[in-house]
Amino acid sequence: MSEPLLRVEGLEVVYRVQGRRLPAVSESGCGKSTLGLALLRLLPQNGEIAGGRLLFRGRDIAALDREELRRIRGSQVAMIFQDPLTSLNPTLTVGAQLLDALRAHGRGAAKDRRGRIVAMLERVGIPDAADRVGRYPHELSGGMRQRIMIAMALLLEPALLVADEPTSALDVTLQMQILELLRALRRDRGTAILFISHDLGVVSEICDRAVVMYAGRPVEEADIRTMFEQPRHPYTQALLASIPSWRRRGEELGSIRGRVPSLFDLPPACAFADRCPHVRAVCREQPPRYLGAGRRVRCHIYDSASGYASSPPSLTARAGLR
Amino acid sequence: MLQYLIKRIGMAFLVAVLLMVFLALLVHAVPGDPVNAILGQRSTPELVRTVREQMGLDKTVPAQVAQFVGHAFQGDLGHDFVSNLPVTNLIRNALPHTIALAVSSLALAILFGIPLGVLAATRPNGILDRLTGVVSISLITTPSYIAGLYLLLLFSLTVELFPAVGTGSFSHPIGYLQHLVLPAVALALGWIGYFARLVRTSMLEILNANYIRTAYAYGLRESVIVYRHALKNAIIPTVAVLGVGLGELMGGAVFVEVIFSRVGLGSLIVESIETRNYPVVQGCVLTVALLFVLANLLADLSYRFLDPRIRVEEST
Repeated sequence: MSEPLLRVEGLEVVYRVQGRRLPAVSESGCGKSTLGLALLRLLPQNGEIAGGRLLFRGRDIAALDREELRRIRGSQVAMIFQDPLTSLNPTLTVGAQLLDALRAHGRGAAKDRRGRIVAMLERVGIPDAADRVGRYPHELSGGMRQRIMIAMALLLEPALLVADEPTSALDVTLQMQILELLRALRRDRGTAILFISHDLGVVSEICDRAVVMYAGRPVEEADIRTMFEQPRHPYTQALLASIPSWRRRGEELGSIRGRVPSLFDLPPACAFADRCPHVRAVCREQPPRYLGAGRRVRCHIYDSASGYASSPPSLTARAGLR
Repeated sequence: MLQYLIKRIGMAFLVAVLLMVFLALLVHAVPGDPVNAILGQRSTPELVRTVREQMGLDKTVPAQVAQFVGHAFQGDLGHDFVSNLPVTNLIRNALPHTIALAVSSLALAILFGIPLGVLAATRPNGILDRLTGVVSISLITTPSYIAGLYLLLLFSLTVELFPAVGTGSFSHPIGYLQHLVLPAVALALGWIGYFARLVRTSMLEILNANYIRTAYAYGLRESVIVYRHALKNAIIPTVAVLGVGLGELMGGAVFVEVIFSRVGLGSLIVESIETRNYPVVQGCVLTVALLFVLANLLADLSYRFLDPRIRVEEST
């Protein structure tokens, strides 16, 4: 196989907060959105890539000059943002914003662009598209705004689509419509989709492979079926146990005690140690390695060289699976 | 929108009426007998009576007010004591020059202030930003009469680039413009600084907005992002102060017109205050105030035009 479309090699992003450099872990997330932003070099001003590499078609994104970067943005790698209301310009009509995206990459003849935009809006399921191109974002519903964002992403036919929680602001019916749209896009055009989500149900609907992140690091990677049927990392197992399922009616739902560790106080070894039901002394002493190829996991349990088997169970384990 | 327009124009009308009432009372607000103040040493009982009648001071105060407001609505602002010409004629001759001055100052302020603010905001804390910061604050804190005097000394007396005094005539546009340059610059300097600061602040805020990130994410050119996507949002607060700005410019015009000996409302007001020429003062102040109200109305409407979110709120 030739060069993969996107390769992430030990990416490390740091944010400077009050003079301190912090790993890219936000309060709510585990660095999922940061990864998406880093991909397009759109990190906020206090963030920077401190280590590792992001390779797009074999080229290091950090090494691109401004014009090269500009040409890739949107036309090669397009991003759907989480919050469609604040991500669209309130003083420009949606048509004007879509038009600017086409113009920026010199796509289509000037006179055909409007037609292309209307056709794309129709494709993403916006009724009355010819009228809606002249509307401002605040005149449209949340679902429609999100579809405008998706239309913008699809308009340029990118090779890679980064979708950052594209459905989390929408109700379930709309969610399904959007997911169907993304599936169709992948099927018809072969677009690769990097789908960022905290919702395992949605992930199982759309993804082929999944990477589970915890405290800014990938902890497990597998194809989606394996991930759901044979999760290895205790965090993944706990996550899956917390999804309500028709098959497990009547059982109590699993939950993970404690919370994602504070940015200022990450455990020195395994970040999940304090919440892990299987924690042993070694988990607090040595950072686990990210092992395997294709099917990867970052946990001492699966590392025969880690000494997990001979390490005594940690008596100080405060939390665990219920 | 139409409903808002009617409401807004109604308010402007009300302000205008209140203003006229206030101006009619102005004569009584100044201590001492107005007629004696006007006539001074020339005062004879006969003259006093004539002037009293002319000014309507023989009537009760409410009747005076009613008369002034009524006449003003018919476009009659009384007669100049000195020349006995209708005040409206004096204003008609002076007003175009003041408007020319105020509008060209405003144009200069927009032309230089906004790009300076944008440039400062695109490279915050860069050399240009620091430089415009210092320059802006210096400009804002320099009163127009100081700036006017220095400009006059520098560019008319030391380097004879522009005429020092006078207005020129509309029939010689080039000469008129030459006369206009220094006063307009003197009046505009403070506003250039003010606009630069204002635009910089709102641009900095807007450039951090999510939709600007979107624009970058879709590979738009920096110039398109800054001038089309960001400036259109950042300009809204600036437009809001434009109305007030135009009023301030009219006020500032008083000094500048006196310094450069220009014909205009400002110099007319100063002159007529010196001679206690009440009708002229009243007429001029009324004109300036009406222009101020009008400018605010226009700024408010254009502000609504720029921000589509407000347009909708008003129409529903």
